[in-house]
Amino acid sequence: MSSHLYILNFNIINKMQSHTKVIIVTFIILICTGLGLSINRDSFEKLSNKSYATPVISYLDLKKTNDSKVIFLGSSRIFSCIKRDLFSRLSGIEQSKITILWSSGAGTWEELLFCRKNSDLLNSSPLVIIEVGPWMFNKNLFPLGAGETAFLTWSTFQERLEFPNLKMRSFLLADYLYPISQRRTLDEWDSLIYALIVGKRPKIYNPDDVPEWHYKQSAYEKIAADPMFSVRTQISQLNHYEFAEYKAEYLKRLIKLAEKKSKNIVILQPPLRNEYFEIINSYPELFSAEMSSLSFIHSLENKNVHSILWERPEDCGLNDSVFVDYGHFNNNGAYLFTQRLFDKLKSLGLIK
Amino acid sequence: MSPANIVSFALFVSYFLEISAGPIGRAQKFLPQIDRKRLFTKEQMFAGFQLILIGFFKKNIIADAVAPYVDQLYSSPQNCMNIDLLCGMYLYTLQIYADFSGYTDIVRGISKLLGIEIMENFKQPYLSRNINEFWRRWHISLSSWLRDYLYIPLGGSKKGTGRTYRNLIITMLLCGLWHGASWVFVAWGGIHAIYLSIYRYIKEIFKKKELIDQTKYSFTKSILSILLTFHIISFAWIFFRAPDFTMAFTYVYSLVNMSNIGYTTSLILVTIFYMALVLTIDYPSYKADRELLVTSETPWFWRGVVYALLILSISFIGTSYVKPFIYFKF
Repeated sequence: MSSHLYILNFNIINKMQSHTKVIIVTFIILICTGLGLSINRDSFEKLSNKSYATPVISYLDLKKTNDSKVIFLGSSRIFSCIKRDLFSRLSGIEQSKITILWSSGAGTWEELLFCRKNSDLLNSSPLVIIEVGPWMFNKNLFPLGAGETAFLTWSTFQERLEFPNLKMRSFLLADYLYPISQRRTLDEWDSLIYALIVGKRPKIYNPDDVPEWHYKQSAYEKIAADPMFSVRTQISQLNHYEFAEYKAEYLKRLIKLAEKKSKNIVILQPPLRNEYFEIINSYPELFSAEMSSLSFIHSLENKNVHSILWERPEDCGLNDSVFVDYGHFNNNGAYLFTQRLFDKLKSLGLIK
Repeated sequence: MSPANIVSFALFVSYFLEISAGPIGRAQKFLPQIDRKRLFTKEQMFAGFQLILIGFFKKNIIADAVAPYVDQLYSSPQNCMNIDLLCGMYLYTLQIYADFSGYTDIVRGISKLLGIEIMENFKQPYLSRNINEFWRRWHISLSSWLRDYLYIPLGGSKKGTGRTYRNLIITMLLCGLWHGASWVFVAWGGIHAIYLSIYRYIKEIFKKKELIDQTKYSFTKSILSILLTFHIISFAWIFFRAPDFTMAFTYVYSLVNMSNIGYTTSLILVTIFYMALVLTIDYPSYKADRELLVTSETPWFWRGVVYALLILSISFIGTSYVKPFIYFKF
């Protein structure tokens, strides 16, 4: 055997001590299994839907072509405030060409992910509307939006490397090579293997699906009883606020991605309940948190990037009766808001 | 044995690996290891790591996984069907073994890496063919301690039949009480005292009448003996697990109540699965009469496979229902 093929000579294995061989076999199995799981984390997640963002990703994977004219990206708030049928009537755009991509608790990273997962998404759409909220830039608020699972499944090596917290970054990098985040209970593995064999897929995202809470009477009753409850809950997401450059960076990247395709981009903050601002204004640290996120968004404005930052409902001619909770709109509120948003977009010359 | 050096003795009484939940160390075994020069060998390293991996496997993959089922069934047995309660009884039997022997394996593995051997505390106890053998295989450090410092000083089996039974009962009742100041533990000890007394009585009769050869077990007899022993032990664990007598008797009543017949298929499958898993871990060691799953005599490829499988299981199979080690409270 020629010298350069020495590695293939089994004598090298025979000469090794048995302990060395054991370690090599162990590592080969661990590396192969780790890589296998790492490569398949996307498929596994789509079969188990652990993250709120997963149904949207599955939807985007299946949607081969995209002919959207307007895209809304964001969390449940963006879904709750837009009525596609009304927007379609007002703008003359077919309802099927108005795409709302949302997942509960989505942040800037999820919005970037949705666009990255389907590169066609931005090609056809002349208008991209991105929802923001001050809590989306809080460094001390993990999740990175909807939760760790989505990030652990679809983040790039670069995104993991950039993560500011050293401990978390180390975990994310280790997980990239040996996907410890794929740890599941035996029941979960069982269901996953069953789904793989049978080919049974969980329900994917449907832009026309309306979540139950949107029409839920009990939600109104709860608010009537204690309107401050959900406001306080939401404000807790601003606690220990520290502006997260890396979360801001995701928004910048999303804008850059859309700008490459010469799109008009609107950064939209739908209004929040008045009580929210009563609390914000009475605590200096919360007020400065709110301000730092607003000033960042203003800094992004240019000829293609516009911002519509409504704080109180009165800013767009509405009142607190449009809300289900701190900032989700009820059905009537959504119709009223859609009208106001359309008017604003028209006044900015972004829509005919 | 020469008097111990005070530092060595202090280390013995405060040895961090044994101090929280045993095994109960003996000075005669521990002190010579401290005083002599300890060598770190590859065999020791592999054995230590293997024990740690097996321990984590038992704790994470078995004990913590069956815990939610057990907790649910023991919280309201009156609302459960009796086959489900039977599964609950088996599952707790597996849980306490996997939990405690898992802990012991981890401790022994770490100690091995430090060059100090700790006594083996469990030798596949659920593969015992009689209750006597069970106590030679279960929590060996405690049972041998009770034998040496309680049963034998009381007179052991040397002072007549009546005294032997009395000593047996006292030892087992105190063994129960050792686990906590609760009557259910005393009852558990009492049940084992009854088992041991009956076993001793039957053995004496058989011995006198030369009915069977006690030393020989045919395959069928072994299987039947193991099954019988496993069931009586499992039954006794009900009293150990139940928070009080009311709950223990409710469990037993609901278990034997024939108007309560019914089962949940998934629970039966779970029980069979975990029983098979415990058997898979225990049987190779039982068969070869050794403490480890694989040794330096096992072909290197299979050793690598076993290590990898253990690491993979611990890495990728887990539960959110993590419980502290059961024996930490004793």
